[in-house]
Amino acid sequence: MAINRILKFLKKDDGSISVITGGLFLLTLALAVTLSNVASIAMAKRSLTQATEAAAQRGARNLNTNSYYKGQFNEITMVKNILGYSEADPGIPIDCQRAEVDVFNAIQDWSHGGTALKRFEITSVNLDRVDCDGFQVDVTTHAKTRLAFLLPFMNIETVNISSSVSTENKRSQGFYLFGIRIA
Amino acid sequence: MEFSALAVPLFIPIFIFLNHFSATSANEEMARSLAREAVRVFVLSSNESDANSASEQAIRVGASYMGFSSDEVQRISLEISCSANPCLTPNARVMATVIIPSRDSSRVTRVSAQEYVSPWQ
Repeated sequence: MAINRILKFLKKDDGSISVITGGLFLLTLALAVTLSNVASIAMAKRSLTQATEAAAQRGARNLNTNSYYKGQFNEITMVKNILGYSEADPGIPIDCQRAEVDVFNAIQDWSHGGTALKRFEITSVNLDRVDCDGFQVDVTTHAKTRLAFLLPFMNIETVNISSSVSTENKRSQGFYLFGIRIA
Repeated sequence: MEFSALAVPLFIPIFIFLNHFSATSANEEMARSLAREAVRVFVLSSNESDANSASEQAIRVGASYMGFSSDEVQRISLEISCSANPCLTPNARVMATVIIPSRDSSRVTRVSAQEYVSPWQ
């Protein structure tokens, strides 16, 4: 009698839609949560890259004046220029020591800025490396990002993001006299 | 009937959340790009009057390219703050804040970017 009742219960398909709907709901919820987490990490990474870029640009603006003014213009170089044997432009020299300090300060300023300046998920920002070869500055930073939603089955609370930017100075094209562009 | 009774209350909040999240994220990303461009234009300008108009112009042109309608572009505002007076002092820190109100003005996206004036300014 009891076995018959169990078999009858198992054969009934009432409520099967609820199970499917519930399953689909859980799947959709998991996907929504994962997508939100991935999107917030991507936005935090972009925010970090922009800050690293600003810091690298700040560092690259430190002109190494000793190197820049070495081999000043004189009669011999003037003749060479007229004859078309002018020196090749080696690039604009950067004062690496001051560049490193400026990059560090720029990252510090940014990391202590408010939530309008940096994404609220970014918890700790570190300057990993500043490489400067005298003409180019490479900056690498990393930060920890809190996930928007913590998933119990994944056991991940933060994600490390990293960003690398290189920058160099370019001489602006044109004919300048005493810093004033003539042509 | 059973499906509708279950699916409507379960799925509609998720769709509302996803829609809101995507709109907010997109607005914030665009605001961040606009702030970045505005502050770059500002620090590269030769004088403060040019800097203000150029950064405003960068916001208008950038927002139009990003797909904002002319009405939305008009509602975007830009605030510039500087660590020195005048703003374009060598090595001064300049911060541009872009404020984008949502269509129904219920939410405001406020994003900043900072740059430094060249020591050779």
